Amino acid sequence: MSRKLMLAVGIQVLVMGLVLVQPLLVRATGTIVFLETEKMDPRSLFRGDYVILGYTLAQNILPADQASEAAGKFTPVYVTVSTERPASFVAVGFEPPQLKPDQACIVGRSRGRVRWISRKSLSISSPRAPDMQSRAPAARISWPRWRHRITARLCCWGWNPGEFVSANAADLQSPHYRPQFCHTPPLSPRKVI
Amino acid sequence: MHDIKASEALDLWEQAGLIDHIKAGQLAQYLDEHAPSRSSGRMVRIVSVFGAVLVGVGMILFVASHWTGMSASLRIATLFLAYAGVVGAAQFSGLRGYDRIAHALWFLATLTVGAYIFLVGQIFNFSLTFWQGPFIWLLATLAMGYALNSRLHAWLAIPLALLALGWFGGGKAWFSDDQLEALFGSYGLKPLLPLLGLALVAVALLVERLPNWRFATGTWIVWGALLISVPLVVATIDDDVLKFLIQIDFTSKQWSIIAFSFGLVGLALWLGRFTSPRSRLLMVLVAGLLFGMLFLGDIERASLMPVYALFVLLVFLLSLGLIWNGVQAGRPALVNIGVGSAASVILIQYFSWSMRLLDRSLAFIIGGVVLIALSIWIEKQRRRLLARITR
Repeated sequence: MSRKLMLAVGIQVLVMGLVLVQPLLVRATGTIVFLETEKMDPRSLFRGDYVILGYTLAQNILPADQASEAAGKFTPVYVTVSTERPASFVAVGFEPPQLKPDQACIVGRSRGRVRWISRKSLSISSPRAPDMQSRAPAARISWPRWRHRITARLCCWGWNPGEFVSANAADLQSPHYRPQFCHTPPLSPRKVI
Repeated sequence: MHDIKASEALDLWEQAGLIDHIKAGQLAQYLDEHAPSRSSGRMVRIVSVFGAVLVGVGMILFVASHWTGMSASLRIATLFLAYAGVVGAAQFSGLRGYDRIAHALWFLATLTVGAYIFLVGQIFNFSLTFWQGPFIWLLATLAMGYALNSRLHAWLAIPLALLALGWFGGGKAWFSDDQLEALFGSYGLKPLLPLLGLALVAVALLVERLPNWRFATGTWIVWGALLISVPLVVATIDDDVLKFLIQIDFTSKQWSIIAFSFGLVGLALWLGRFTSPRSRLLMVLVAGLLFGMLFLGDIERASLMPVYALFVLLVFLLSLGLIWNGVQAGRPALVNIGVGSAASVILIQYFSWSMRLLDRSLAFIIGGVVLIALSIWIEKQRRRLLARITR
């Protein structure tokens, strides 16, 4: 193998390792929060009948005018939640908050007016990608498996509590989908389909 | 030297009495044994690349079908092993002298890296507009392309670069999870695709100065020509289509792309390798046209018609310029793209006008005759031009 080819393979292996660094670091050092979810939309263009989950506490926490403005300008929205299980809403703002020890912050984006959700809503996007303004919905679960209320476990990550930098989410929780993950026990099951 | 097949040359020499039939047979046999024809080599390459892609798709399907039953670490280990296996097979093929198959397997290794990145993205629920994914895949592709001087890798690099650029910064729509908004939204790449094509041509002209990157020049020029010509030709369909394609929000990201693209064009005009001063002038004219197009979106609907007519004329002239440039630079692909663009503009205009002015049945009959005549004329011209290039 020529030196150039060895270098190329080395770069490819490095790239493959690099993808793992960020999520594993977040899982190792982040703060876990548990957020109740609700079904937002049953379809994905590429995946078919899948459920997009939105966080229940993220709905209607912004005034309509601010939600529209933030959506138009792509302004990041900082939602502070408690670390209890399930998490409760603490505060929302457009600046990184000062966090107390039992709080965590998730960076999201206001959806503003969207096509099939009539209300103004803030859906916290999946904040797993390194950029703080990642837009994709939080999690997906195969449609036929949507039988129970699902709690998402997010792993929030900041360089230090005073200067929040980023947020990252971890696993989708469901007793049907991945039994090894935790599920909020007292929640009453509800049929969605 | 004349560009002629060995078998045809042997026939010519035999007919001229320079060699006899036995000698011609011996020479043909020697060529068969020591210099296998390029067409068969190309066939091997095409088949092996196609095979590599099929294996890649099969691997992804195999992993996907067992996905839910595997833990995250097992999934990652499986993907790593798949990559190691492909690299091992590529190296083994290279050592055994099967260079074309080795080349295809190295390409498969690069595809495996891409599959790995996005499957890891799925494991950890990365954003679907995960721009870092195509970006680092692009780096891995360029590294392998550089090592192998592979045009196939240079070809793959362009859609990856577009995807990374389009997804960078995310989008705003919910539908389709923003994945396509990067291409179809007025705040995305859609109005900038021709400009990006020109920037790509500029990059190709610049890398031609670098011996280690010269392999990518032809591929990137063709990609650039396609990115310029396809949106422009599509925009000639109708003034509404033109309006849709040029609608631009002028976001800070778009301004950055515009500035960067024109910077690259300026650099190419200064340092790039052009076949003639006229090619340089053509690039300036195209840059001017694309710059002007950026501001057409503000024109009122009522006054768009004359601008549209001028636009169609300019696109047609640009297609002719592309044909001329292809002949000058000895690039048959540019001639083909130029001929295709010019023919498409003529046909689009014919059908849009004939449907308005003629009776429908008459429009179709005349249209059919025009199509046949045009295709004969185009094919004649195309062959003449390509013969001029290869002569």
